[in-house]
Amino acid sequence: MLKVSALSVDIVGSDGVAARIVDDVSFDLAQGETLGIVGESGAGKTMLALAIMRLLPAIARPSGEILLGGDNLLALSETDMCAVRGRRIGMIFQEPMTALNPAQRVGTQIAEGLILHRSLAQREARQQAIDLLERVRIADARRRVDCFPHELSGGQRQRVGIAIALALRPGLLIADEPTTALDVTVQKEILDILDELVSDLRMSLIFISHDIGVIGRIADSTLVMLGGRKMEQGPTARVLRAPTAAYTQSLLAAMPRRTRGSLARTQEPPR
Amino acid sequence: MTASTTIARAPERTAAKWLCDHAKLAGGATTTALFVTIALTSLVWTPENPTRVRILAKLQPPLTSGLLGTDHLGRDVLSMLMAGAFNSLSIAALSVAVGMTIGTALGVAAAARRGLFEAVVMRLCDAMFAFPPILSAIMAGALLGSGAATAIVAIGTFMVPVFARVTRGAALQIWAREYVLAARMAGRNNFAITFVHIIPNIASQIIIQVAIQLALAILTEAGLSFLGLGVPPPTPSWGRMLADSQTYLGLAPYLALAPGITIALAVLGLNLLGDGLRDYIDPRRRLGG
Amino acid sequence: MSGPALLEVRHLTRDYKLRSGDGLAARTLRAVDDVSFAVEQGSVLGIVGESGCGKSTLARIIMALDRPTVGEVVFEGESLFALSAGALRQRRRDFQMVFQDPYGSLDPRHAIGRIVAEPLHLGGALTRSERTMRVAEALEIVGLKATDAARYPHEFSGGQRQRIAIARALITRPKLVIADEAVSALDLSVQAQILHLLMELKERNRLTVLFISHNLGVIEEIADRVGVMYAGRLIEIGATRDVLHHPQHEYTQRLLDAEPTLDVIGRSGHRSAQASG
Repeated sequence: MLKVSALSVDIVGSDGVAARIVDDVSFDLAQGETLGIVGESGAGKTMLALAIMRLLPAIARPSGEILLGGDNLLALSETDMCAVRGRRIGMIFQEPMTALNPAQRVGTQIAEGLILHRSLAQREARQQAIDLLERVRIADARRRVDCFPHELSGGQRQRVGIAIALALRPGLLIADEPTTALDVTVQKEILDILDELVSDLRMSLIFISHDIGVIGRIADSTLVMLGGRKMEQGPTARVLRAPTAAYTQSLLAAMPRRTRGSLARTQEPPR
Repeated sequence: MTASTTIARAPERTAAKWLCDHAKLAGGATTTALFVTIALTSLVWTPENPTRVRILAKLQPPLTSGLLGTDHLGRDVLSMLMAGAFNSLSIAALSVAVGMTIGTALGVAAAARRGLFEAVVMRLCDAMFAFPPILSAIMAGALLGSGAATAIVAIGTFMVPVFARVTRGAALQIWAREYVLAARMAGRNNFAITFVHIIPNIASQIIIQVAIQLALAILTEAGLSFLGLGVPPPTPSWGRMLADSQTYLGLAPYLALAPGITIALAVLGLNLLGDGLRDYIDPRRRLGG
Repeated sequence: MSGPALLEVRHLTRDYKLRSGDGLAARTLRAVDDVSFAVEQGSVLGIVGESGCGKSTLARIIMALDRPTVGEVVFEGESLFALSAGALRQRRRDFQMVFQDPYGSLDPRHAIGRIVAEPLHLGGALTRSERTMRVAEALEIVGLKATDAARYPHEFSGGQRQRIAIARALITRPKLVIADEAVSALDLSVQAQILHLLMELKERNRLTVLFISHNLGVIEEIADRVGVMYAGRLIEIGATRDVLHHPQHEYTQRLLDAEPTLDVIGRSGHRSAQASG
């Protein structure tokens, strides 16, 4: 459903110097598949996600092709792209507090897309917002829909973020480090919710993280990035248990033994 | 890992581009420098003696007698503007210096001590804010008579709470930083931390405020002189020139235009400098981090 | 615990008064609730817990940056809060802290040498050359160069800045270092290097470390013993192997279950694991 071919992003500085922060990345994403993109800071993962959404800053110039169900996203006008965002692609960000408008009730924020794109009436949109909150397992949704972001915990805010992204039932969801700022027990709940929703709604998910353990938990296939380039790609189990690229091997070697699991304990070099 | 392509640029184009990107800063700095030069030059040379009265040559339009003409007492307008520049700039500079020194000291002390001390200082500032400079000048004038000292006291009093507020806010942000915590662990007391860590990190914000407040000070001084509360005659002053020109507005409009435009330009220059500095400093700080 | 205790924390409690909006009713927030433990010299004690559990507050109290409401901190037999200000200042030579944020813990206006040398104020007066030598020594221990002393923080990466922070913590040759989420903000490969460095320092210099983290994998790598904190209380403490493999408390088990490991990979793997487990 998504085919990325030779995607590159160049940043042109004020002095005319161009730096390539995403370098010739290609991958395919099938309907209902979850792709995990893993890499360290500066690897270009977020820029890749922003390029797909066409939300790059003005100084970044993308090139290549991004085919979403036949449409080349890089060739669309801004107006057409606005119709794609939210409707066909939803995005979840890292910081739940800054991704939500602190001055608006969460119900309003969820309903915004519904009213804008589907021309729903206020009451109907509010009902759907409540349904969505229940879907992301927020207790007492009927009351919570009128809360402001600061009245909710970090985990709850991230669930609201997911609800907003799902509101228009996009076919593709892009999640950029959605659990990095959360506690590990909250992270588990969020991953469980995402897992369930993606299956129920048969959505495709691109999950970006620097945490290999999380990628291992949620991704069907994994793409490893370094310095803007694709280092390795394949089914998650294969990439994480029997990596072929040297970089992937060094990443796994750097992981704490516990996270690497029992496989690591058998493969451990003598200390 | 990333490929970079460098496009070589000729040196003149880079300098010109820098000036374009930082137009406000360049423009403001140039204008202010110009005024400072004029003010200092007036100490050693002016086209005519600005206080010399020549009734016979009174109300001469520009270019007939001197570059900008003469006023109702035959004094050369250009010379008066130059001498007035020194007057305005020096009073403004001294007022801001007073306000900055006392205000910054109060502000950083309040941020360091917190508690009752901070509350008292802030309420004191609120009280000082309640007295607009004009009012303070009238009161100071009643006590000290009119003159440069009165103007400095009046304007300076108003500057103190401005700097206290700004520095306290900026200092509080630095106090929350982890490197200050590290300094406390290194055994530094609040006094040392204020000088070693707080002040260097808020210095740029203080400088920006100085530029902005200088503009305000010049405007206020002109206002005080206009009302007769500034330096007394015969010392030339832009504000008084404006006041005197009122009677002759129909006859000799240039008498009002000259000081009016000069004041506007000086204030504009300083405002641009302040804005330009703020734009210049902020993005750089973000990079530095 | 066999050896002498370098640090002993006894019944620490820290309450905060919160004023409600109308300024009248005051609630008390108990950030640290009756926490007691001891740390043996030359060992690493890990403290694990999620946000809001009080671990950072605990760290600040142990560093004498904050006073407890109740309880005492005993360092080498001396109760820190009973000391005079001068004596406490002298004592600070023996314990230092490394913070989480490599970007906030170094003053951007100071050169590295000046940053690393700051704790030397606690020692006796040192000559300029002595100070330079100590700075060079500290930088080299953490794997940086003596010439880096002239450079500025923005010239260094996150991992390097954390090394600088460690150099600063080590320059007074302390006996105890508290690492408060010191590797949490770092990339995986850098994290491994910093952990390795800390382990080396522990072996070579008999450094005692109190390592605070939310990551159990990291704790298992580095800690001899681990304590679990929840809502201000120390709910479990023991040898790392015991706590992580045979947890006594339900919350510890929840933490262990929550952290993803590569034993089970992929969504389908997890669903079947959950169904069977």
